[in-house]
Amino acid sequence: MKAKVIKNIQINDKYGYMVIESKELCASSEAGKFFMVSPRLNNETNSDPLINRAFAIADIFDDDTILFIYQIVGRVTSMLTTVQEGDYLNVVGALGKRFTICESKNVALVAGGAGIAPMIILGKKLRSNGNKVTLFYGGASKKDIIPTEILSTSYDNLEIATFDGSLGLKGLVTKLLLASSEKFDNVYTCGPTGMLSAVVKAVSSIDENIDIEVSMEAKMGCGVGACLGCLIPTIDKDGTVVNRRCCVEGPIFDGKTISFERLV
Amino acid sequence: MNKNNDHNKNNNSDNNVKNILEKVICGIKFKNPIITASGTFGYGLEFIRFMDLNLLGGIAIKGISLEPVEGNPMPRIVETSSGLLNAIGLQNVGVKAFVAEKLPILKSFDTNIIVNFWGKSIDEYLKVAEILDNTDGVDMLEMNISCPNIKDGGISFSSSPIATSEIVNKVRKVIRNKPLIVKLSPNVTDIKEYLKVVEQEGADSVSLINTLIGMAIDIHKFKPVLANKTGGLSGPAIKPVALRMVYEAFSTVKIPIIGMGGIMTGNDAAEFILAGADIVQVGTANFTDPSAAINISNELRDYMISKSFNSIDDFRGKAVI
Repeated sequence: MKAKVIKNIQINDKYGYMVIESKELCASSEAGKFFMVSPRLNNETNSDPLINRAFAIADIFDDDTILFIYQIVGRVTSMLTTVQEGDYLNVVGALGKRFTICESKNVALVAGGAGIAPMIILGKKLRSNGNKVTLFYGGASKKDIIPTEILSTSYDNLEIATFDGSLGLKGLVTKLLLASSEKFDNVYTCGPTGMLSAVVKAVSSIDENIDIEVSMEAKMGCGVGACLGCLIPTIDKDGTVVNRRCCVEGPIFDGKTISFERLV
Repeated sequence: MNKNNDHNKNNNSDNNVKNILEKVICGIKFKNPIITASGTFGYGLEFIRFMDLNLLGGIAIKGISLEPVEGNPMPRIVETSSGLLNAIGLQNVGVKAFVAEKLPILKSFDTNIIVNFWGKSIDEYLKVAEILDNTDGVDMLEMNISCPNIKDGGISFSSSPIATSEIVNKVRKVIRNKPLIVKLSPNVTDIKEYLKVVEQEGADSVSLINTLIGMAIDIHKFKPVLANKTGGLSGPAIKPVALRMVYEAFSTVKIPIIGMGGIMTGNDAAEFILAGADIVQVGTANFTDPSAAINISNELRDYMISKSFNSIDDFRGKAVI
């Protein structure tokens, strides 16, 4: 399906965001879901790059426009910086499972780098369900923390950490979480796999009973469950390891079920 | 086969306009010459949300084996220039679960179901072939003797014309009810030798090409990107190789030819038919757009109208005769 580009803003040399219009995409969009963007704009038929890229839904406005954030890391995301207002993206979605939305709880969101994207829509949804939301947001440097106006009304409290100390606390985002005096009932996290693993460990060290949902990332060939290229190793209750498709059974998983040591 | 002819008859009685895309091979009527290729379309059910499966000529199901198979470790896929390199390792639910859980839903659609199958041994090939041959709702069988990604995944059966001859001969004997397609590997010196033996041993059709064995290296980790080290290359990058081999098939065998390899558009499909294909399969394009096969079918019709072709046979092999 086609989605019209309403706005495309490059934040700095590492990140950009886009607002696109598609009623159809919005209709199936929820916090945690993602969509695929084709490297072919408008009616282009070029075959290189070939494979679609996955992006998390960051926010929805007025049931017809979607915000997504892109980190400029490769050919397709570099191409995205050149997209003009009025261009059409070819998109597939919304895809995958959504976050479970709790009610009237004390909630922590832990985001790393581009992992902030799904936390925006999630934080807003959680707050509208009576939860108190603290957003712990980490990045390598100041550049990795996107402007707070994009974060909108997604949190009650915001705490920032950067690895080089250029903004907020110097160090890893898990340090903020562990140092917090709040007693959280639920944790949601999205970011690099190493960070997710550390957050799951940190949360279970605080209290085994805290529910934690993670948004996993994997290179996807199709996004619809056909190519079997994005498997995430999970552990069932009886201890058996089951590979689950990140695109269909995920990207949202119960953090306690992920076998991080099996992930490459 | 009867079921098939019946529902297609019904389908065509809707109006008197001739369906120029219709094509019959091996006694099976296809409403259009577009089949979604094995391994790129799951069990078909994954795509119901994105398209009307009734509009497809056929669906080639992901390679089915006697027992469930877990497949290779990750990473299993990597994009290369105009292509996709994969080493999934023939992960599948096994024939029992396919027949019990997937096929009943697939059967409700008015499209041809072609089940791709393989075995780790001749005995496994025979067992799974026999089960599928006697399963209602399966319209054709596509025998995979050419998967490059697992040690015993059939590549040994396509390593020489003699080995190919032996396995096709044995499988042919247990398939009594449905047409047998043999899917060939491009990873051989002279595909004509293989085409000849497959036809001689009684295959009803050939499909080609499977993926080309390739590799990608991570220059920062100093190792192959794929856990399996090598993988099968698909996508537009392999189209010229595929077209050459379809052309060689056209000049070598009389049985129907199912061509594939990098088809992304209706014009690509037309190229394969002009090179000698009766029908084509669409693979990697399903990943870039889940409704690609239907778009390709529509674009092929537009191409045919623009050239005043009234049937596939009007231009099949026209470029190479």
